Amino acid sequence: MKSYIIGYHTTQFGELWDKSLFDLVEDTIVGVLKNAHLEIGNIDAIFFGNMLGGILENNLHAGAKIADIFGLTIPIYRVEGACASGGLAVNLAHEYVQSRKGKTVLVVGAEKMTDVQPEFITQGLMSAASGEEQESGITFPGLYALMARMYLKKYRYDKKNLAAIAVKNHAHGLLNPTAHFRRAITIEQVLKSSTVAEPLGLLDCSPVSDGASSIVITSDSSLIKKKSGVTILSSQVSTDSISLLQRDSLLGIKATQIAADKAFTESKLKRTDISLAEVHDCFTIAELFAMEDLGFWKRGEAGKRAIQYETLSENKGPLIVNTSGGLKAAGHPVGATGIKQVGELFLQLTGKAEKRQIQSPRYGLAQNVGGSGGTAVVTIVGI
Amino acid sequence: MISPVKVWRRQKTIRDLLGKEGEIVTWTKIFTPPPQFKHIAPYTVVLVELKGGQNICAQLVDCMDDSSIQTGDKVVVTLRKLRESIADDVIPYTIACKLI
Repeated sequence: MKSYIIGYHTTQFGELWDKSLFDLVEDTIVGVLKNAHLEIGNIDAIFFGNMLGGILENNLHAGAKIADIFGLTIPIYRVEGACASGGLAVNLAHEYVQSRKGKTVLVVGAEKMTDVQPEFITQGLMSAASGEEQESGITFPGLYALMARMYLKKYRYDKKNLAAIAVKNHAHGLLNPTAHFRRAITIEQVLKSSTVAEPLGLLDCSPVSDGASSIVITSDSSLIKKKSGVTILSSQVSTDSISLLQRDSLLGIKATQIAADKAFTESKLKRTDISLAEVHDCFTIAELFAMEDLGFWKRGEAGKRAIQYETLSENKGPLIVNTSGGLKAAGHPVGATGIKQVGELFLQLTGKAEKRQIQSPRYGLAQNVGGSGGTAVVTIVGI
Repeated sequence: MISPVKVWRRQKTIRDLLGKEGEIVTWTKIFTPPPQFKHIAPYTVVLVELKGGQNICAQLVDCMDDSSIQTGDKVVVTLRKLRESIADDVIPYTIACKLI
């Protein structure tokens, strides 16, 4: 049975001081229902991706809070997989509507991160790492920095090869009205930005953002006929050790490799069929890994090809990556990110991406990673 | 929440690592720490492969100049206080690494 995405909405991403977590959830649910021309009564279940509500603001039992806002009695599930919470919610919703013909569900992701000081966000995010890693004082930028140093050394690249990812994604973010950052940056600015965790600087890192995104997924054939949508061709989840210490290799994310192989097998597509990808660039090194782990580029090539800006929209190559601006420029409200990625593919494939529209894409891929690679979700959609 | 029982449970495995030697695989210097490490930032964290193959992750201590760290540098595991004691007067300890 097929499942279709028939609507998408996202709030602005950024520092949204006048909005609470559940204000954002309400805004995006109202928005996505309007976008899909549905009423809340048409919805059979809600999947809610959120990571930090419990830790930062003692805010759990989200299902009942969402039910309270809209006066609902339907099943509502909160899904958590660190920064892959949104992608996991998409995966579960896809499985749900495939196993129950004629069902229509909302997938909502949200995060409220700017209410607290940055060190408490750093601490909260580290709950998604192992106890040993937490005790060493390492941070998520630090974990990716450990891997970045190995990658740069192994393939003889330098920080410019990382910085090119941030430059490209900011160029894309400039065209996205809901992006956290809408300004172009240069390689020099990235290299001069203050150090977060050597060798990563501030402009190698995605920001701390507030925001909420949502999609409608359905297996109701009457809705599919009436509405323009995209088909979910495959959605795959893979897991790995939570800690870097148990990994076979620190030169990539194995969970991404496994999920990608399964997704390409199920969708019967080749890597070259994909003309559009939203990948998890939480740090610049992570997009280099994504391009190799997803099988788009060979091992060790990503540093070189990144600095040639092959995946920049205006270069009109065969594969454009992170037209939303990625996590780097569009922002990274953790629970929302995996849904925004799939939503960006929806906009592009249905020709609604406005100024950042690429020409006639048929297939798109989203890759969402939790932690330092303990969870990965790869979703392929087509028109 | 830190309970004395949790600290005791965590620290049962630490003694097995003390005095072990290994080599630095990769490292970073942290400038944006969580709150409990703010007073010592910036600090260096190393990923080390111990003799026998086990990997550990720990702060590099007693190192005034960390600018010349190289992959393959030899270190030994030592004991350090993780933070000041708070509730219940339990002082948590953890592992750290020293260059040999």
